[in-house]
Amino acid sequence: MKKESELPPRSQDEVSSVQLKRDDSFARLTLLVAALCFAAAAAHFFAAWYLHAWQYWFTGGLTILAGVGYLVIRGLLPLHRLALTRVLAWLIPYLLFPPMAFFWSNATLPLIAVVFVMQLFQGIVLYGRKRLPLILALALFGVVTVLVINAFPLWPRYDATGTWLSRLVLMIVPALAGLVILMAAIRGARRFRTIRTRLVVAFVVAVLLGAGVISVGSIVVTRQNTIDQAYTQLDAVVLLKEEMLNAWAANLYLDLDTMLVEEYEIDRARMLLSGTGADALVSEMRQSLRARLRRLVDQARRFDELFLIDPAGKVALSSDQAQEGKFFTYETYFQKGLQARYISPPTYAFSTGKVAIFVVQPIFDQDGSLLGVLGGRANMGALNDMMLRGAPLGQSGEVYLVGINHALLTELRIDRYAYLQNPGIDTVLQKQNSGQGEYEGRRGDPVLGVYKWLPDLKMALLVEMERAEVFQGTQQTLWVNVILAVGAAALAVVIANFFTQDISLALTELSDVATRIAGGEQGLVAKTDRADEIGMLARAFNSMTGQLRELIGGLERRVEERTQSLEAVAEVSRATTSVLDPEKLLPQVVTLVQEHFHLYYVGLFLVNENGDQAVLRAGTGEAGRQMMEHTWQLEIGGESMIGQCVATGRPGVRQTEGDIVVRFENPFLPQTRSELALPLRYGTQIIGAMTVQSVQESAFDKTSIALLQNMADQVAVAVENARLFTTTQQALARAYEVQRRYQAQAWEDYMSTRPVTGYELRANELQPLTEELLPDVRQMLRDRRPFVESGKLIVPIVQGDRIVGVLGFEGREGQTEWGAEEIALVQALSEQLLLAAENQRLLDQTQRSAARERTIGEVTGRVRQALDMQGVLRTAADELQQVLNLERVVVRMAPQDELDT
Amino acid sequence: MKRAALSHHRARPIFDRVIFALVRSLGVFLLLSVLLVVGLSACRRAPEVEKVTLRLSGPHSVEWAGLYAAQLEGYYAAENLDVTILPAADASSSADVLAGEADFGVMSGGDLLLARARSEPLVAVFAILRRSPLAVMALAENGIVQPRDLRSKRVGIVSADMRAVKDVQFLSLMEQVSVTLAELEAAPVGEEGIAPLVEQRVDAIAYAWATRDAMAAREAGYEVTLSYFFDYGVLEYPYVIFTDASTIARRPDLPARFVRATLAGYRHVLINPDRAAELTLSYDPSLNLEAQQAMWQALIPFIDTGDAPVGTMEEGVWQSTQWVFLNHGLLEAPVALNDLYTNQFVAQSGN
Repeated sequence: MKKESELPPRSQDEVSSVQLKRDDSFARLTLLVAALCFAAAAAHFFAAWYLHAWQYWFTGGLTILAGVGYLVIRGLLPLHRLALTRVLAWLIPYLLFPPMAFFWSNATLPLIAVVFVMQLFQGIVLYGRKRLPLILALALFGVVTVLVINAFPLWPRYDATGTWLSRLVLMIVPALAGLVILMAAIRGARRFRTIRTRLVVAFVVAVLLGAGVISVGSIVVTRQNTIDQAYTQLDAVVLLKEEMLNAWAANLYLDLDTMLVEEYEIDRARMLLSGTGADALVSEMRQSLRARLRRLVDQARRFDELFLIDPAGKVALSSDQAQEGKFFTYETYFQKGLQARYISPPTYAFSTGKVAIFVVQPIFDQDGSLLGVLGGRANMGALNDMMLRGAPLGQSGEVYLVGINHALLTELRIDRYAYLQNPGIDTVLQKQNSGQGEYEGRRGDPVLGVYKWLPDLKMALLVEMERAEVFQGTQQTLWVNVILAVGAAALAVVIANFFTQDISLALTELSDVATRIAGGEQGLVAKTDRADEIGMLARAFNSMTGQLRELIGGLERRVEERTQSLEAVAEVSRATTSVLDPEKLLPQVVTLVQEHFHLYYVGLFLVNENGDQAVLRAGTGEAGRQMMEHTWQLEIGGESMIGQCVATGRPGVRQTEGDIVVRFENPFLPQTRSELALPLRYGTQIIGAMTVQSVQESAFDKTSIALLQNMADQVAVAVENARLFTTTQQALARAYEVQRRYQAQAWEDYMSTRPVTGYELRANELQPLTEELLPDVRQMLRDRRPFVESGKLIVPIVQGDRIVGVLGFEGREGQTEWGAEEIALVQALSEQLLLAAENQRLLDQTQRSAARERTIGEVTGRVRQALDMQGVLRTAADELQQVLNLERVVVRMAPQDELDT
Repeated sequence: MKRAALSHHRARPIFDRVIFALVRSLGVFLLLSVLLVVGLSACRRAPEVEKVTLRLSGPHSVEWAGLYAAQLEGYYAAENLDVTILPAADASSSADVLAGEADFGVMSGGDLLLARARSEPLVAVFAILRRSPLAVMALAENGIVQPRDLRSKRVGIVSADMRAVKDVQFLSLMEQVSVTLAELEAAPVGEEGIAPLVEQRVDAIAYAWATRDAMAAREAGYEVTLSYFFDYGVLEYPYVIFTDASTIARRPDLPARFVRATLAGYRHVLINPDRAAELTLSYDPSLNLEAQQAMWQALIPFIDTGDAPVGTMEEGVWQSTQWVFLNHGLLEAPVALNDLYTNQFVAQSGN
């Protein structure tokens, strides 16, 4: 087994394919993400309904599409369409997040972050780190897409940070991506090698996750409550200050109302404003009224100046004498004041160099005739004090008033500005309504602000608190939570380490025992002193190893038995194939089978010539002998096991098994408890059957039946071979006898045609021999073996078992003995001589046959050359006479009936 | 090869083929979306920047800081305008506008009233100063704290015939406080600034600018007293931005965009007062930064009176100006004030 590092490097496709195929957690992850997408879509749709923002219908639709996409990925995984899966997985975040910029404003950064992180994460998971440049390029492309879409809004977009719900929905986007990555990270933790490490990591992750969820939840709730409380507080201050402003304005009117109450005062005012009366009297009246105005200014201190303006707009009287004689004919507050009570917007007063508010009202005489306008320039210091005083807004809280053109009408507690601009001021001045929001304050810090437009005063009231101060408590909660989470994680590590060490040690011991057992120490047992699951595992392990030991021992025994059986089969086969005589073979087969398989009885049946009976041809023991004497035969297809076995070609078994007792009827085999009938199959032919019987109950199982059947098949082959051998031998003997007779007849015929039948070579002279046989030759013919005597050697020429001639030799003078080699040489020579003589005979015979054929041909040719029947007959007669050297030839043509007679 | 690929394609499971088609469709959709975005962005390409010329009624000065801010801080550009701000030339700004050499001009409300009386179709759209800084100025040591104190004093006027607009306005002021010319000594000094005063050739100047003239006197070490004309019912817009009436009728978007950006420019320098002088020096580096800063601070109350949006004009002021001119023969008949000015563009600009 090669280690992973030794294996040839696999392509990235293969690696990813293996990852995707092997790990079904990827499939579960896609299902989880799909479910999250649908949940997120529900949040979008809720936001669309709750906020009346159509944009969320579309973002919800996009999220639904993403969920469907992940379901499609889940469906693709079993199809192993890896490339398609990759493309789809890459497309989904791309189709989901950037298009949201079409519908959301102020969501650029979260969308960019999510697109970039998701594309980067998915790219690495799907394509591996080797393609990091490409992945980075694709991720950046996603970012650019968000920026492009954001730069060119096609329709009004919804402020994603405008409300708590929209912020929550916006947070779902990075939360979704974060959850996916977290799941992948937890999945990656499975790469830790030891259970202990995994358990510790799992403990810590669980604790951190729990603490994190609780912390985030508490922080979110706390923050939201804090914001709500802050806005409630700011609203209360706005309400308070508005009430104070209304009271202040009411008091201003009240002061004006009390200025000219008495009739004499009105007469004086009329006299002054109309300019009637003696100069001295008017002057006195003026001084008297001016003194009164000054007293009112000094006492109430709500006005810096009080004045009377005549209908032409000329200041007839003022508590500030320098203002008398001026004309306010075209001033708005004067013109308004001629008609009704009026309080002017904050207006710059050049006489004082400060912003002032003018409060005016018309004055009438007893007849209701308009005398002029009574007015005053309000004390802005009181207004300033009103804003600065009594606002429970912590260190950073500010309450201030802003004019139409962003001019700061009251002082700030902390800084000094003439003009002020922030989103809160812009909104309230632009829309001239009330509202609240979080925006950048005067020093660039985010503030929570509540603003209200005061239509009567034509100014805006703003109350602000710095966000940092508002969330100071939340910050502390956050830090406490972080510290608690870290502490809990550390504690989790310690506790997990403590518990997992115990588990890990026990498992390690068990692992060591298993390793040693695998190494061959099969007698080892694991400790079982624990009462927990590991103790149960150890006991189960010991039980398993015990069973394994027994199993291995049993297997070894069975292998040994099987080996012996196979050896017996081989022995039987070897022995049977070496015997070709069926009369010897069959008894030998049954004996060998009985001996090698320790059987009670073995019998062998062969099908008779009629094919209707299986005749016992061999049987072991006394029982076999007796049954042979009784010519034991069984009907094929009958009720007997052998008959059924031969008829069906399938083995049959009957045996006593436990309570199931089988009765065996054969009186010669009373001790049989198990019987097996095996067909003797030779090809498709059943030539007989073999019965094997045992005194043991349930002696034959499937394995032993198969084994014995295998042996029976080989026995069948041996039997059939022996039978075929015998048949062949008999055919050969018959052919040999025919040949011998033919050759003998041929030689007799041939020799009868020869004038000389023997030759003698003496002194290099060849002489024909007479027909009379020499005595020595007669002796040799009687003995049918070489004759050696007195230097003579006579060797028969034998053809088959017949002597067709002899070779005789007589040694030179003095040679009385013939050596064995010389005899053998002569015998060999005699064989060659016979062969040459046989060839010569055959040649002569052939030549004669050829001459006859030629003659027939020639005669036939000449006969055919005749032109008429008479010619034919004549030519035939002539030729036959000539060829056959006949004296008379008769050729006659006649009808059949004549010939018959 | 292609045949093999096709046969392979045919051999795919139908689900696989549907998914493949779906993914391909999504890819095409994405591509088309990107092309659509790019196309729309191309279609939404900003039209050509419109060149606009503005003729001032005086040299470059911090008084026009809002205009400089609108141009240099990008408010005009945001309205797709590129405004050339030209200082006063020999020809009047009204002549330039009527001749089509300038799209907008700056002049005083009185001059505009007179131009309108001459049937010149000019319309004021924005008041740079909502209060006139015109005042009678005297050295503090002369004890003149209000106009009636001018009796028996030597007062510097523009011309001896008292027909100049400012002389007429001064006459009106005197009438309001019931002081006749015979009760004082009028000395024609032209428009020399504070020189006649500090050289004690006169006890008071009938027409001084509470901003630049008073500052110059104070810089010269003199304490001065000021009697504003507007405190006595003699009102006028000293600087109004105007344009041709036909421009408003033909292309109302141009004055609307111009006024909106101008208002934003003035608001910018009100909120960031230090920038006013800096921006002014971008147009005339020879100016003194500190002096311009001080002048801006003095100008702020005249630009933002607090009771109405910057640039807004009030009918009472125009009535006052017309009343003065009618009383002293500069106008023979009243002018339709509704045709003379409009606040619609300021109102459209919001706050």
